[in-house]
Amino acid sequence: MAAPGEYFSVGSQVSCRTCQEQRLQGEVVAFDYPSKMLALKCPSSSGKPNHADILLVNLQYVSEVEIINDRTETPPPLASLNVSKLANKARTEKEEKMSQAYAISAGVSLEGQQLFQTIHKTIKDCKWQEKNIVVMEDVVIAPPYQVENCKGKEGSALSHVRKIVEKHFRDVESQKVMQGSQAQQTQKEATLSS
Amino acid sequence: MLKQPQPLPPQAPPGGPVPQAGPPPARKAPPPGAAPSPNGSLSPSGGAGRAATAAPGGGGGGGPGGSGGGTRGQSTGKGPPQSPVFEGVYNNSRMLHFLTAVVGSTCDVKVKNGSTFEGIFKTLSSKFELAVDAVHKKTPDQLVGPKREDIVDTMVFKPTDVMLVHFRNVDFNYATKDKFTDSAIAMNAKVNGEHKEKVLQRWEGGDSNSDDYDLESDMSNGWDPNEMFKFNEENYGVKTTYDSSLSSYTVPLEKDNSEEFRQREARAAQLAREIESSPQYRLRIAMENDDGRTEEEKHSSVQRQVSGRDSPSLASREGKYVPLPQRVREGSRGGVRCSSSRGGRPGMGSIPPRGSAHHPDSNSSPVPEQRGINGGPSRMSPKSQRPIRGAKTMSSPSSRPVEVSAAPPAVGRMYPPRSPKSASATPVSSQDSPVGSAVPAAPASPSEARTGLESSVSPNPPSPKVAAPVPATAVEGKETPTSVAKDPGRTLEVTGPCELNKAASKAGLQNEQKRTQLEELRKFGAQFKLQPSSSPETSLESFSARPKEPLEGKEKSLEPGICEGPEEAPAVSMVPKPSGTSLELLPESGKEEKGLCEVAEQQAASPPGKGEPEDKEEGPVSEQVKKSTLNPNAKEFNPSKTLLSVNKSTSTPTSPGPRAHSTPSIPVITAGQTGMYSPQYISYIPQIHMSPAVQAPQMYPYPVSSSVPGQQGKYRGAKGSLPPQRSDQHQPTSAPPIMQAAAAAGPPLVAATPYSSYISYNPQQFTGQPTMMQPMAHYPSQPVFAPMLQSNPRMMTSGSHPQAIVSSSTPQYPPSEQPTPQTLYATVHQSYPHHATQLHPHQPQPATTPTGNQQQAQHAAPSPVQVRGDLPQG
Repeated sequence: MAAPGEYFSVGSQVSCRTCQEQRLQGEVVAFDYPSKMLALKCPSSSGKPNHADILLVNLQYVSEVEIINDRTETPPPLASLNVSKLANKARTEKEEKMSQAYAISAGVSLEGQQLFQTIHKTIKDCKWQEKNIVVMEDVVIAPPYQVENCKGKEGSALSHVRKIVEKHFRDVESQKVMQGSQAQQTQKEATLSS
Repeated sequence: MLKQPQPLPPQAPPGGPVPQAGPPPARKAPPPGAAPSPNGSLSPSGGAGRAATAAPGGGGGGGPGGSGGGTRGQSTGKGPPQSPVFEGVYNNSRMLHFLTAVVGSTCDVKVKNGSTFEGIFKTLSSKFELAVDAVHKKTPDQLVGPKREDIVDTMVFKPTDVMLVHFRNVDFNYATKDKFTDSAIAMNAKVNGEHKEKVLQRWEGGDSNSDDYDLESDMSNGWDPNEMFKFNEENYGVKTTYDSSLSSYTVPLEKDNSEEFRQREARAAQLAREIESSPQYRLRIAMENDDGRTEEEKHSSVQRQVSGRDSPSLASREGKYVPLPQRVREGSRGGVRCSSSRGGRPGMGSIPPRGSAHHPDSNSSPVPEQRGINGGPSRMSPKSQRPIRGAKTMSSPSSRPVEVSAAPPAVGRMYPPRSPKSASATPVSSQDSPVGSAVPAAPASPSEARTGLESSVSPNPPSPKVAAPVPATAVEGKETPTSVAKDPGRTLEVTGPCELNKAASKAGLQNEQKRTQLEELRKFGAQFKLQPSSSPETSLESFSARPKEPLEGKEKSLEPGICEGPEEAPAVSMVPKPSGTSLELLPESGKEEKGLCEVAEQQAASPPGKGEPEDKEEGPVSEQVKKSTLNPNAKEFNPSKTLLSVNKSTSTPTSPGPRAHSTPSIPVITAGQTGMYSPQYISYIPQIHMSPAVQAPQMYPYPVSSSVPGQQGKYRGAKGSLPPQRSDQHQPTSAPPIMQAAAAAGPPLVAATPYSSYISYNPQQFTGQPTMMQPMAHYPSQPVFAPMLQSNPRMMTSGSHPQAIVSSSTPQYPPSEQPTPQTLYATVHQSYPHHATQLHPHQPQPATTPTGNQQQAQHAAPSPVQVRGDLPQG
């Protein structure tokens, strides 16, 4: 912080313009002088109040740096981080993305992907088989992944999966209502992916 | 500059762009030292990417640790590991912190060439090389998600190639909030080396704040209803429908300020008071609530008595029921028994000395009570102190008991002499409050004597007093029960006067007699001080050797019985006479009363020496007896009325008196004071023996304070004795009276006991409570009845209850006692007879405790007299 402190004070609002003529603005949270890397915090792109976006700017490629307002106050102490938790998150995120990519590569629709994720939360033993979701090696859900698409040996497993599927779509509907924008996006993606 | 994110992992070192990645690992290695994970990952992985990833991990670790500042991270890193100093960005705790916080977030990495790669940020190296997982290149036209083949597992971006990294939707609280949350713990916890999600259990230990959780401090008995309601509501969503107003069952009382409402309210309160103050109510409540206690007390008291009695002759008495005849024999054999029994009972211990010991206690307790009652503690205190000293110092108890016993005997025997002396004094008082005074005096004197100061004197007084009471009762009996009550009160008063007199004498006040008395008193005082030793002497003096022995004998036999024995005989004879001729009884009783009266008078008027008072008392007694039969009673009656009121007030005071008496017998005191029936019973016996001494001391104080107020003394005495008894149980009360009587009467033989019993009874009667009735019943059989009768007006109503009670208890005694009493009673009054019969039964109960029985027996004899008294009243 010593070095950065000389150039930017934590908490100050900074505006800069990249070499690609992209305007960036945010609150300074950290600056690494050796690497000329400046970390800015700006409002979350998703709009969630408790979330934020972090911009890591390489000042070597920034043409203008303007300090909108400076803050002299000492930055608040940094809370300790749960590294393992973050690592878990990273791993989970990666797996999710990879799984999604796998499904996408297989040509699975967004609904199918979402359904897969939902089922995966409850039943770890599920995998993609082409575009079909195979649960517990027993139940196969084929596109368009509706309740009636659940097939397999009649029994508790099938009924259980059907319940999950039924609930999933019910939740999705309600979620769409509640989160129009996200739902739309997902739909777009779904359409696109499909 | 943008270096395309080539799969650094494998080729990290070799790759052109990657080269840097290579270095980072190396550099990282050192810092990672601080963070083991990084190192491990780095070296093994070999891939720059991995190294980077590892680094981040290390960075993350550093971040947290160094949250305070970069220095911290360094220091920590330095400390343990080889390379203390972090390299590169790892020294920038703040940057490290934020870049660690964004681990796992989706990031868009824009490189110099303008292309953007999206991936999941994984870590960074000390050289600020960013490792991103699951990276795919974003293309403007890419509407569909990346396909599996488009995704690169991990890419490492050199800082120089990176133009902008955009971490989206980062929740900075994600890693910080859960630092030590349940979920974090559950997630991170390794159960037996297995990565499982730990199932956490709710901690029910309560607030962490209450470190000083103390079981002792939690006085609540289980859950408060409101707590339960709250708990159920919070935990189970069950909401209580409980309404404290019970509106479903009752209608709330609407209070208004209207006059009518107030009147109603007042009336309701009054009715409640009346009901709660009614004897029946109390009796029933007592039976309902005090049953257990009473039984306990009874048992304990009995045991104590036994123990106390053991030493004397009481043990035999206590343990076994002693038939009246036998008691009489014993009594006749030795006033000693009575005294001993007194002492023994009080003493709890087995020996008389113990009794004395008890006396001290009783004295002390009595004193306070007296103080409280009379408000003349100062005087009392000295006396009490003296007595106490004597008691304490003594084995005095033994001596005292002896004295007491002696006193009774002396009274019986001695009375004559005393009467002369008293006669001089008595004449005056005898008429006015002679009887009362006499009676009180007797108790008082005993107490005094016992108190130790004037043990010899006191004994005499008691006997006189006792005698006096009897006469009074007899006389009163003719007149009214109330008179009896008065007598007790008077007796108390007398004692008071005696005390006063003594005090006066001590002070060296007034007459030559006083002087002589003073001398005597001084002697006595010396003796008293010595009481332990002196007391015997005093007893000897007054009673000669006989007293002790007789006393012992008496004690052995039931105290009452013993005392009564002698007394009873007379009493019995008297009784018949009373029924047939109250005169006969009266004479004796009258004499006694007179004596008492005289004593009282003497005390009140004369300061004469204590010794003199005793003598005087005796003399007066005789004289009074003659005179008293007529006038004294009337006067007494008046007092009795007053006494009634007084008794109520004095109930506590009286208790002291009884206690004092009882003091010798600890139980008695407690019983009397507490108002416990059982205690009283126990105490009674002791009281009888002890009571004289104890009471006397108490009495003295009173008298002193109210030397003039012979009545007061009487009242107090009566009240004191009565109230306690009443308040307590009838039996107890009766016992104390008996004790007193025994003490006083014991020596005098017949008269004394009856009187004492009367006195005690009176108090009880005064209490008027149903409970009192029972005691009364006991008393009734004895001289007590007379008092009962006096009190009867009040008692009568309650009397029925007591009777019933008595009857239950009486069965044993009835045979022996009842006969005489019954006959007498029959002659006297129907109601009384019942009491008498009942009383007798009760007496038997007391008899269970030796004293009680004896007393009863004695009382029985007296009862006739009382009966007479009752008749008048009736």
